[in-house]
Amino acid sequence: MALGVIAGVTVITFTLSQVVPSDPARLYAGARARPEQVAAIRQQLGLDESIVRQFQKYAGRLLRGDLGESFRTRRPIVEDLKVFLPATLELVLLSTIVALVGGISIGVLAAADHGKAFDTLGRLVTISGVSIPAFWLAILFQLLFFSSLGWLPAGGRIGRDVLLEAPIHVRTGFHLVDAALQGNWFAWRDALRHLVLPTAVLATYPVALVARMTRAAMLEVLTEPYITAAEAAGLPRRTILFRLALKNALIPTLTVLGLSFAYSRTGAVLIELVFSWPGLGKYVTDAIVRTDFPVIVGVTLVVTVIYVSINLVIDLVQLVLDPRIELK
Amino acid sequence: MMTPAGFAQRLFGSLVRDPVKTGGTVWFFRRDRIAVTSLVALTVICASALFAPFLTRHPNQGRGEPNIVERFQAPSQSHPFGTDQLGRDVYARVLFGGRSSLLSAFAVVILAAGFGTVMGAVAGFIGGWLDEAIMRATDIFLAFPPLLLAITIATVLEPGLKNTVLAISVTWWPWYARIVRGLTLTLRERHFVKAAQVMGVSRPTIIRRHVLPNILAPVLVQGTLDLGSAILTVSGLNFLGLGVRPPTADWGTMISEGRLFVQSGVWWVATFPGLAIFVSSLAFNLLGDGIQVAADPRTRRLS
Repeated sequence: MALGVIAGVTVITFTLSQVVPSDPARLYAGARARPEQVAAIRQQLGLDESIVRQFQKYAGRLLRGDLGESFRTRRPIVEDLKVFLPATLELVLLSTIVALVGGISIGVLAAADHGKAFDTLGRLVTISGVSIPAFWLAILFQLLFFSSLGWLPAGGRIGRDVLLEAPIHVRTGFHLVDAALQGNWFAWRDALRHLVLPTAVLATYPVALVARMTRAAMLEVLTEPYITAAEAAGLPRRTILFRLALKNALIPTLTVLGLSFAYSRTGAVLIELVFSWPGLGKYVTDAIVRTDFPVIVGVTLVVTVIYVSINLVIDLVQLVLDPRIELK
Repeated sequence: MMTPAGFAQRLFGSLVRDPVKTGGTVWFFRRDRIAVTSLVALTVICASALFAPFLTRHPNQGRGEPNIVERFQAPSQSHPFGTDQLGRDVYARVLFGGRSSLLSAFAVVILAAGFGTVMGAVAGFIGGWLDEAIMRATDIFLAFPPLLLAITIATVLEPGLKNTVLAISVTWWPWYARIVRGLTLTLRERHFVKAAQVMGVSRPTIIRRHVLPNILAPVLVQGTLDLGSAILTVSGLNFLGLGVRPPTADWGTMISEGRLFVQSGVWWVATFPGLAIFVSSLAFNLLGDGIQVAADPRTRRLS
């Protein structure tokens, strides 16, 4: 099933790279190339062969893990991804954790306070969270925390003084992990300071989503007889909410996690641009400005494959958690 | 003079067939002060975009005419939202920007819902290999992270508002197709549809006359909920420079222009259009939420 979807996705990305209005060979050759040079490149890239043959070649390259090379820099896209992907993953993972912890707490408390002040406040806050344009929130945060208060850096992943005095040796590509492994706490603190604003902005939407899901699921679970029994037995409210009810309410919340990851990933495109975060989003937006199609199509493909795999993992986790779900 | 709640009744009361249920839905909707306020706010926002030329002293600047002499003026009495890098009145630009932003959000939802509804109805009603093919297509489209696919399509096509709208719609129709397919599958078993089939009414006619009208209400509710995200997505693509061409005003484009000057203390150029996006999107979401709560007996709250 997941494999079929990925095959379909490949067909669509291939189609997209085919309907490019401008001639890829001309783009690759550069603006001042002579016609015979363009023709030579067309032959070299195999663009003069039949569509079917081209797709076979394209699919074959993909299976070997080759995404082609950038029109502009001529660097293999896979090499670029090794640099940009960890930066984005660090940001996305961190904001997902923030979203889960924050969203679940808000959801549980709102459900416990059903119909009262905190619930209403929660409704307004969570709906605001899904309504606010993230790239605008990012700019506002820069204005407040950098320009006005000067508490946090405006953008980038690491300060210049860290690069000069105590550079981080790249091992995993995650700055926080690498700096900690190295015992380089000066760089670790700096990396964390750079992460705060992008993480907060990126988490806004998923926090709201998770909170709404958790609240709805909790409300349903709280009406079940076993909760009434626990209440009758005089168990403390906190135990009922967080130990008994939450466990069953978490299952539907997991599904949203996949969605929220997808959002974080795509929302990151805009947020990375605002915060000059050297990740996939910046890689893609730079490629958009330079109409570098292989990069755009390649990144879309990679991110989609990651997304499909995460959803598959979540389905499997649900299978383990909830004995009522059966494999078809 | 029609009250907002009366307006809501006219707008949404007709969506639900059953008269008893209609009374209930609107009754609950009217009690939801937040949702009614949102409806009023949206009416004001749409009207101010529509009548933009009459609401500002600088309609030409709203349309894009530069006025370099007055560049980067802070908000004041004569320019309530200040002026931008070309000296244009930001208040006028926000009013005119609403035209492109709201219009494209509506266009995205109408296109996606229209195409998705037809595909879903066909898949659910005819079934067989056609159903299988359409559903596998939705699987593939839903596999893409939505904004990223829209960005890719918008880049591959020439930049422009029309293509941006088209690109987002392409990524949205599968949601509607799935909802409608589900609804159609249950409708197909209803007696009035069976009766029409027995009488020999052709399939396209049954879909048009009996299936589509009955799935309109849920699709419209979903559409209202989606308008909020449509505004955000359209603005996001415009922010990246994939949508309207300058000098046309657009909320997303204005933020990306204003962003360049934020660090030098010019906060107003990016702030006000963002506020407009936020308020509109919030109002659509609260309205959609209110309608959904009012229409669903399980979530109705007495407050």
